[in-house]
Amino acid sequence: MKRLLRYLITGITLIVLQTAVLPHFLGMQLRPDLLLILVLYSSLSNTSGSGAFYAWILGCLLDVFSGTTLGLYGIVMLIIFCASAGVGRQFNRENKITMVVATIIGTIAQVALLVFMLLCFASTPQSWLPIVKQLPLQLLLNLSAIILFTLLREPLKDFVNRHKGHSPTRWSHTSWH
Amino acid sequence: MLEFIKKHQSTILFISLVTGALLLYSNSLRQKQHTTLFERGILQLTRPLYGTIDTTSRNIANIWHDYIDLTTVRQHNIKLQEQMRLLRRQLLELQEVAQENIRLRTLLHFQPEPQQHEIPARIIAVDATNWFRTITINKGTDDNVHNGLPVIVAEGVVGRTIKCSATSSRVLLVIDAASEVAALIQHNRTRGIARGRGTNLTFDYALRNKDVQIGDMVITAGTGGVFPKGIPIGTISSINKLDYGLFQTLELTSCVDFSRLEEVLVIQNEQQ
Repeated sequence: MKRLLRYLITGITLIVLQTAVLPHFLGMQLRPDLLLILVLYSSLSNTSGSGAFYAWILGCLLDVFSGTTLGLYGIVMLIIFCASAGVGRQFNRENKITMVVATIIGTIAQVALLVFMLLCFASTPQSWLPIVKQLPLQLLLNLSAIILFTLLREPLKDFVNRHKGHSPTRWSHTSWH
Repeated sequence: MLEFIKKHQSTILFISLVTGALLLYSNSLRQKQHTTLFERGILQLTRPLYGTIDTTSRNIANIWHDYIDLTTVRQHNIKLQEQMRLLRRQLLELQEVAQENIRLRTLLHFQPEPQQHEIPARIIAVDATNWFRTITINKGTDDNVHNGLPVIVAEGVVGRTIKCSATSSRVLLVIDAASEVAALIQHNRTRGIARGRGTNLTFDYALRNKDVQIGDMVITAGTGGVFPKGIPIGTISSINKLDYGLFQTLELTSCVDFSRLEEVLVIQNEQQ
């Protein structure tokens, strides 16, 4: 329950950042998909069944603030989580490049799944076309976000540890396990 | 049996989760106009956060704009006075036309148009992803805003409300790919459907023999049951006429600059 709450709070914070704060700086049509990055990040650190459930909840949370139908992102995030968790086992998860590669593949997979779902279920024809057109831009934005996150992660860790007086190893216990 | 379940635990879990998620999605597809308790709850929960961010950003912007405005206020003043003179003259002409219209309507025993109540609202958030085109406004069911109400600005159509909580609502913009509006070309009354295409719109089902020019204004037809008649949607920016077929496809440039939207009006019919 505590973990679910933590996921929900983080998810809501990222969505608020994405929908109300970033548009002031990046404009109306430039937003990295922070929730996708969170799902990918958690899939590489938490491969349990509950993680898949949380990914679905995060997807549904995104549905509340995006698109017209509840559940579309739910399925997309759930499948991305399961695929990423399955494939991620083969990679060194501590390597920073893993997350960058996961973001590239995750973004393409998200678009492919969205297009598939809209083609199968959407009532309006061609509603998937704008999604495909936006892919290169979205890829660039998501990559920028993950690179920025990777660069800021270590200094942030040091900063938090210095202020809390914790040893650097303590941080790993508060991740998404 | 128990051993089989244990062996394929993760597969069974995955299949049941995907099935559950698909069931929820298919159920939501059937009830698109309905705002679920989950959606209402989350929208309600995040409303104070959005309110705080909106107030803070507005205050910061106001401080900055107050300074910038001061530096150009004289030139603006001269320009606005010129515009005001021009608009006054146009207003007088329009008042004459309106009077004539009232007289003619009375002569022809036309039913009076239903009165519309406009609810002003502020935009507090945009869509969470780049794939869809929706916005969130700071008015909800507490302010008599319900699903399916038209949302406009002075320049033209913005969209319609799709999900409403007590204090906030989401609006599907006309440029979203899921948006369709019954429309007509103002000068020759050609009917068609204005469809969103992400950044602009298209006007479908316009008969190919109709005379259409680039720059023609497209307005709402008032037959779709959501938008009142005569609200500008956009102007024709390109004409795509194939060698065969019944129709021509027209590309529209929206009258509204969606990247600069700040305030909107939600229209409510008198009956509502």
